[in-house]
Amino acid sequence: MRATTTRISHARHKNLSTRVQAFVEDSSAASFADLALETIRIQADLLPGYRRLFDARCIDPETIDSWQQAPPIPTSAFQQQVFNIGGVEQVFRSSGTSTSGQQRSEHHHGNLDLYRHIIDTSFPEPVLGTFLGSAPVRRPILSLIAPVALIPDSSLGFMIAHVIDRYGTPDAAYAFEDGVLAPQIALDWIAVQPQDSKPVILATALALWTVLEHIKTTEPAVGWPSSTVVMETGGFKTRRFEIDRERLLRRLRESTGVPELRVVREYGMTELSSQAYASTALSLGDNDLFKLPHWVRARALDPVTMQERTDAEPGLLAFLDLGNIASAASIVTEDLGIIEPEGRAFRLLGRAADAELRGCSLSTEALLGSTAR
Amino acid sequence: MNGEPATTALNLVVCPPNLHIDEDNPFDSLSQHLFENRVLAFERLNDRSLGQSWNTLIADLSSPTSRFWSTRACVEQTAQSFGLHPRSLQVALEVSLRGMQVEQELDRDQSGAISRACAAALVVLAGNVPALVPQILLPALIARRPLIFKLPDASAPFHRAVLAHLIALEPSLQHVLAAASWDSTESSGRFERQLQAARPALDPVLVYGGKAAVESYEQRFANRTFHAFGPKFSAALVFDDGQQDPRWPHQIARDIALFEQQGCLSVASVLLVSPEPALIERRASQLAASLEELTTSLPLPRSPANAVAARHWLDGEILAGRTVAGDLSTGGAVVVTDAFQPAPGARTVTLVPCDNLETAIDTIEQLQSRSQSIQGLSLAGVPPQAAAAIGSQLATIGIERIAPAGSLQATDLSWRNGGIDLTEALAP
Repeated sequence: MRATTTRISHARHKNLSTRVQAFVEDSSAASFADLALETIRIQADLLPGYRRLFDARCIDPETIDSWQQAPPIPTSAFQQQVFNIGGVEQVFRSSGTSTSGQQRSEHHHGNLDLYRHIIDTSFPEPVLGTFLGSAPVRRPILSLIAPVALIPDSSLGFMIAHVIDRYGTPDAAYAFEDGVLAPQIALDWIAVQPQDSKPVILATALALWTVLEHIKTTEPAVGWPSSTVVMETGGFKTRRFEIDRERLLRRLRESTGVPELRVVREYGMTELSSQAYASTALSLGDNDLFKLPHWVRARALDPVTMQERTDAEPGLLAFLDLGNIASAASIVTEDLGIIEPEGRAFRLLGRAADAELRGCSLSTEALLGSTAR
Repeated sequence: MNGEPATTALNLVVCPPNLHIDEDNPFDSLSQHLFENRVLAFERLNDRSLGQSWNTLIADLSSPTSRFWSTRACVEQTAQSFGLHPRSLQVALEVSLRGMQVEQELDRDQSGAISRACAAALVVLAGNVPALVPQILLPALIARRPLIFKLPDASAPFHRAVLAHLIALEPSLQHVLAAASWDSTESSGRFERQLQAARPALDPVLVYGGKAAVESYEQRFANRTFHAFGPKFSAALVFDDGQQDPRWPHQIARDIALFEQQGCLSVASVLLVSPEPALIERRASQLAASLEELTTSLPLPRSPANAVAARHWLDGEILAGRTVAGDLSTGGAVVVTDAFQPAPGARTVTLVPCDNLETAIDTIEQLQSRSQSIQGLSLAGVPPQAAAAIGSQLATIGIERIAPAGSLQATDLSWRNGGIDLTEALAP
């Protein structure tokens, strides 16, 4: 009986995946709420252990009437368990080393076509300034993020490789030499870009800072083309080198002439298939507001009660990402944030662990690892 | 980030009066003053009067209706700064300071000879429980050792109030006690370097806090006498033969909930020895029920420390199929597991079934030899003779605090935190 039920669920899952893909392409193709609820029910049935989370909260996935009633899976559980339905196409792992003592999150991704499609649907508008449906453009792109050959299991590496392949001009490049970031290569590359070429720099906050520090040692300093766009990611993800963002932007402006309004922030993590972007242009002048694509919703939860915060109170960021149709769609992160109405955008306040009080008791850092991708 | 202008200011929360502070080298002025005034300040102190003042301080901190709480510190703000509910703060202080009262006279330890020149000790609190400052002050007063505290910014007002209250009771102490705090941003490195460069050098250095803080200070103060405290956790060892309605769940719930597991003497794991394996889940539920009951007398704070980590851990354990009783929302949770490790906080605890006492002790010894992470042990149901033997055995591996369930955090001067005798460590 159980085998039959599972077979039916797998068939339903396949059908649902097709409809999710169509919804990512066209938001009028279905209702987010309906797809989300159906995804939750199927994943409760097919993901090992997920049903237990429902049972612990005394919730029956078959009788809930909205996706918000379902318990989200903690991102830290991706360090211990495999969440996959229908087969694994690639395993993405969060960054970290074996000597750091932190376990790495693993996202057993089952639908790379959908992943690429998500990038194509959400990246161009905020970073390239083109709208969905308009003719594809190619730009000179420089990545300060390592190539896939160096970080083969990184979801960020996968995304960057796809972006360069799909949107880069032939001179698109990685500023790496002998396996490490090479700031001088970056500066040489930028120096030959024409003023109106709209070059795109893809960087983590740390990599960008490293290049800006290098500029101090070079004479004379050369301004970057005024049409440059910088996509910055991962500002909150490194504990050993926490960067004050205001200082980073000030240094960028002073050293290169690139103003804040030409910096686009990207929010993503190993456990999510989708990304959120914040930019002055995208958010009507508010570059702290991360906007989500139409197939993702965010909530801020009270970590004690797991109830949704109301009245723009900060809470633990939780996402329902339909892009995770083949893994775990409803997840709760370790980031704190404030949600804008309807869950279509959020403000990031940082890592919860950094905000929590600590005494001289053994900290939880040994138990919970980073989810940086 | 070097070369950028400093954006934070040094906050000298306790400073000798009329002392000219050189802004470029503030700790030079401070350490010099404390060094020069030590003999004079302590000579003025009368052993009997100091003992009385000390007892007044402890009594005032422990009583919610005292002058300390009505004039110097606000219960609500203090509780919030330590991540506690106001009522729980009062209970926790009362319990943990009970043993800190002294006999009428505060005799000077013979090793703390006043005539000998001695520098101030530096005490770094990276984020701690409110009872810690009195626990450090008492041995320092016995050793007649001047102190400079580096306080966590958030709880600096409370610590300042404690020191100010003591100085008001014994004014000559104003020349041997100082405290500073600053916002922990990048420019804090400037103050750290100034602390390191102070002349006369601050020595010994006592650091309380997380691994990163301890390691960082240990590196920078490599040429000083260095004592590190933390991070550690405490466990409970329970022998349960299946009697009806055992008392230990309630007692251990107190050991878990006091100070919201932010102190190293908070219980974060329970080893349960029982001849009846079927009992384990029932006891897990009873412990969770006791934690829930306890929220009446020890209410949960609005935002418990480490709640996010605890939530992630707890739901991860459920996903992994382990037995879980209770929840953060009901007052605490118990996870039955074979892995002897601390739960992350917010009144969560691991419950580890053991076949017999020998296995349990072996489990403790193995973890201690690997990590030196166990501070204390709360005992319940263990026969007195066995308890004494366990105490001697575990003391040899650095577990010095062993107490009956429900009283693990009620320490006194004899408690050697981390095996260190502070009176001896602070002696000139």
